[in-house]
Amino acid sequence: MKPTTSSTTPSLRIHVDRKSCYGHALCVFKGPEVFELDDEGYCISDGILVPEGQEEQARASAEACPERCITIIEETASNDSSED
Amino acid sequence: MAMDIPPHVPRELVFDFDFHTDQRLRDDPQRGFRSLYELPSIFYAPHYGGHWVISGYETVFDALHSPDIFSSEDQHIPPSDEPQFGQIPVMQDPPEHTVYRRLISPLLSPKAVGALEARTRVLASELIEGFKDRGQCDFVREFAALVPVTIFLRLMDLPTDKLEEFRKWSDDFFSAGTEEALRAANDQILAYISGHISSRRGSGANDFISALWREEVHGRPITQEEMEAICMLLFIAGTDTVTNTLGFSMRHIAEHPEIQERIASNPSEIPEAVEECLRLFSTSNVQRRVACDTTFRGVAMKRNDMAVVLTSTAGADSEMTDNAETFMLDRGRKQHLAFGAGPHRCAGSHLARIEIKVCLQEWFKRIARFGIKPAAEVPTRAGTVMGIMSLPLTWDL
Ligand code: HEM
Ligand code: SF4
Repeated sequence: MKPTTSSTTPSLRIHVDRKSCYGHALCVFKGPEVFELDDEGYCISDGILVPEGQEEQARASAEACPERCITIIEETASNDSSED
Repeated sequence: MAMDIPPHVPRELVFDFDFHTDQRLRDDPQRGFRSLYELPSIFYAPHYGGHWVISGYETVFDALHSPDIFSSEDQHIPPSDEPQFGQIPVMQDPPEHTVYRRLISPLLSPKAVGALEARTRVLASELIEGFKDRGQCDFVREFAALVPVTIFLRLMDLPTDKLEEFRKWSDDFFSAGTEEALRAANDQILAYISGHISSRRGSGANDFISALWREEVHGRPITQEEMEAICMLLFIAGTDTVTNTLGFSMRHIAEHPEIQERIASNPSEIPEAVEECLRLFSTSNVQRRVACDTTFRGVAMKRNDMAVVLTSTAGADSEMTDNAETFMLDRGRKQHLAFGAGPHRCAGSHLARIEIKVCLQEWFKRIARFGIKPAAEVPTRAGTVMGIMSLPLTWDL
């Protein structure tokens, strides 16, 4: 179950392909307010919503990830609740 | 070029390039490796038994993510029947690699090595304070070579009173010209650390060695031999690399007053400067052995062909970024593969970034303008891992 937003403006959700994450940590370097690593140094931010105001950080992180395993998905409140 | 080219290698892909001694690599090995962008991204060099040379961001990226084609086991240029040192986990392939890599990653994660930042800072500032009033120093010998070895000893909680000796062994190791010299230096270092390793067994302490002893492999306790193979790799992979990245970077910065000015007046940009240093002055390429007869990006390769994969110049690919050869803090994406990619991506990259960042910060706090000592020799070496052995700098008092 994922949180739904009540706002109608599109929100951004982070998708991290965890199989491809090799722990470069550049996501955290570029987006400290958005991304988080586990104790082994791998990204655990798959599925989170980008906090308001941190959209730029999130995009910069996705660009910086050398494994190209971060994608940012735009979703609106309506399709957010209808997933899976 | 007195060697037979294997029949599966097309003549048009053969280029005379000796990755240790080629003229292009003299004085400025990174620039020399970058000049290979004129050649096909996969070519064959008829030296050291013959091997492929793979360059370009996409091609290198692809090779590093194809461990089933490009194996890390038994890779040796020139090929050798001698048993290899078998460093763990860098000379293993998945899935075995994954078993060991899981033990190491937590011990070198950003969180785990964060505590070493303060120690690095104290050490770097003490060293600089020690020579600052002289108006000159050998940046490599008096600074860049000391920081990573000392931090390695700290990480392992080994006594630092052997620092001088340790450094000499390490110099012997990295400058070894022959297989025998390499083995001798390896044995010396191993003899020293293996005693410390065995005496830590069962210790509850939190240094790297004690923590690693508490791990299990395939459901059994880790062995002394495995411990040694991992610790030796950490030493080999984690000292010289940092020294030389710092050395080559600082040579470039010393030759460019505009970069000095920019960094000195914007020290908060140092983390970005570190990425630009890694993009242009990485010192490490990697080697692989072709595991099966295959075609990689249109090129036929045979099992047991060797390959040098140019991770060091991937960040200077003009397809990836504009003015690829220029040091530019304002470059938006500083994409590079200095730490490799895929399963073997450098486990120590977080520590390496801390060390380089802190060294630059402490340096620029104290010495904002400097240059290379006029007429000084700046000896360098090329190869899979590049080196800069001395960098005399001067500054006004
Ligand atoms: C600027 C400094 C450094 C550079 C340029 C560098 C570069 C690299 C590269 C390119 C690899 C990949 C090897 C391969 O694919 O075969 C690697 C692996 C590795 N590095 Fe680093 N490294 C640096 C610093 C460090 C430090 C400080 C440590 C340890 C504290 C370290 C530990 C390791 C280890 C353990 C591996 C093996 C990882 C594996 O096989 O899974 N490195 N490094
Ligand atoms: S930058 Fe990419 S590979 Fe690295 S930790 Fe973040 S998600 Fe994983």
